[in-house]
Amino acid sequence: MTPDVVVTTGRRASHTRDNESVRVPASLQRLRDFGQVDPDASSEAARVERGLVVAFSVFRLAVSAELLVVVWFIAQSPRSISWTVPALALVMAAFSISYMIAVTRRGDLRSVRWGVADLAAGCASLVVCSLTAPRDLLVGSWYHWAPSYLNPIAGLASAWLLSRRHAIITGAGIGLLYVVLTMPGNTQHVLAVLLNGFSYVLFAVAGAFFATYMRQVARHADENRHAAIEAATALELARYSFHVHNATGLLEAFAKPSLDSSLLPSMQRQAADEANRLRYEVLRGYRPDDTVSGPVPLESVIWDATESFAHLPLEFALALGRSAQLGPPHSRALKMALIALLYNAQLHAKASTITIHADHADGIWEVTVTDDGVGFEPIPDNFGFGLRTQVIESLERSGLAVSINSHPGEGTCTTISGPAASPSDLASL
Amino acid sequence: MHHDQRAGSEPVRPRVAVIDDGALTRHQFQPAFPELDVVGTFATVDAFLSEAPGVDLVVLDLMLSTNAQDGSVLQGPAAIRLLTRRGYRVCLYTDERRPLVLAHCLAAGATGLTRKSDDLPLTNNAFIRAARGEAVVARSIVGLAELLSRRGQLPELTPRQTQVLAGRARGEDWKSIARRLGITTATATDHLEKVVNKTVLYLHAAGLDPDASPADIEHALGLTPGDLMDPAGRHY
Repeated sequence: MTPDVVVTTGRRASHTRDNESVRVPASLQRLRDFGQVDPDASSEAARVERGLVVAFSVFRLAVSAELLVVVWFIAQSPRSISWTVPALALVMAAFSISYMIAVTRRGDLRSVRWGVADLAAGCASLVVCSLTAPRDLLVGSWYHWAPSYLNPIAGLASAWLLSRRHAIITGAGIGLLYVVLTMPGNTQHVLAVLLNGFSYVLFAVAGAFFATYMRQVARHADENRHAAIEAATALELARYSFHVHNATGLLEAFAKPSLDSSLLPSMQRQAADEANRLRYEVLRGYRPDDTVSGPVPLESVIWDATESFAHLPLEFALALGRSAQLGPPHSRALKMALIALLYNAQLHAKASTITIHADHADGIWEVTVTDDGVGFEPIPDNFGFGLRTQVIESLERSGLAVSINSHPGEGTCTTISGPAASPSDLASL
Repeated sequence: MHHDQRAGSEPVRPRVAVIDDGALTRHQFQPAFPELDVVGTFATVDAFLSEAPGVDLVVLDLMLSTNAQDGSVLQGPAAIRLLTRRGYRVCLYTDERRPLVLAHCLAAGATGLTRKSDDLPLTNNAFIRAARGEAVVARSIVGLAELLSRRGQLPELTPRQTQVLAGRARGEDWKSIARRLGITTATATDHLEKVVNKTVLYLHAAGLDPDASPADIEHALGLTPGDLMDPAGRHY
């Protein structure tokens, strides 16, 4: 099925839309949201990104202040010096402050465009300053501000590059650039120049390891939290089923002549839930607990994921996907994503039917979850915590593809696909 | 037996008989569906056939006995086969969703499948259409139709019909399908109607015994073993 809106599995989703009425520019959307408390931003992952923004901003503020001091010093200096360098310092200070404001509003540093612009501007400043300044001022003076301007850039390269290796390479690149530009004519300061150059690499390494570690910790914390929610929901449902609100209890309650009519609306809701549950049990049939390691049938993953949602109005169309087998990381990711999608649908969709469809063709399996509920405009800003982290990011990390279609009033369809374990994969176990 | 031509100015209500072991269903049926002329309600197929009224449609509950061991009560595909052989149009009234069972019932000659859990207006409309002779199975049979199509058993499906089928099998909204394919919703529903008709015709022509085993059914329908049931022989 070709969706008319596609969320790609890249870091930033890109969309093509046709036929959508009002399109709010994303920047305007963010300005609107600025200052509003976003409940989904309370995940640990989001907190870490905000923490990196704070660290970055403090670092940046110090450097921007430095730039202003430089300009002041030059104004005081008796020496007549070209104003190219101080003028550039003011421009870069302004740039720094805009960058800081932009990332503070977003709550994270992961904009590649800003990062690249910052890096380019920083390096360009270094080139301009190194070439226009008197050579004796290049080492150990206030006048040559560009090298210290590049310090935070090297340190937080990993914040927007995301790869440790790329960040360290960037740091090394900056260091190399610095040495190449500064050394000629300053060979008496060779040690200082080399140490300064190497300090960029050190900044980059420290920043890279710190950012990666913090992000990992945050991700584990989020996963644990999700697992805890899952467990709590399952427990709650188990208790719910066990105690009063099973089908027999409900029927007996209806049968009592003393039934309080004010209870009818809630009992009707429970009756609908129970009907769905019983229907689910019939459809699913008896399935022994498959606690096997190794590839599992696609269908098992779906039944496992839907077990806690049997009270929802689910429709199953699994026949075409029956032959597909999934390896452990894929089956885990798919199960978690399905649970998150059903949880979302239960919470937001107000659907009368949720269809779960499986397909398997040409070595690729596909699962779609479609509800006929309210739908939404599928721009990244509208994706909540569950959709972003437990569905999109988690599936991406496992190497699975996901696309989310929705349209207000037309429900939502999420398509997840991945490679089926081949017979040779199965044979090797 | 299928048509009752009556002169008169008022619209003719379809004549319907109901076979359901649930007393409540039997008693509530006419009040629930005032647009139908419920000629009689019966607890068993035998009771119905002994009276054999002339009706446009027989509404048949799938399970007429809750006693699974009771082989004497005619129900399911066997009941459908007998009724259709006697010239009656049969619409199943059940919440059964398992494709294997539904395929078996349709192959036995049923032309309609309505759900007890559906809203009354939807079901009412379905009964009226079924009484006119239309195949009314869409929602329940879309998955099976897709399976048959994939296994090459519905070769006359046009590309558009296949696309609409794939969308509906996944539960896609009609407006969304229409927009995606650049057609109107009326055209899209029309495409699915054609698919449903072809599917029902195919199933009717499959020639299944009422007591065919799941494996027999899969084989007769040209499906791959395991399509409708798992290797342990459990129904899906």
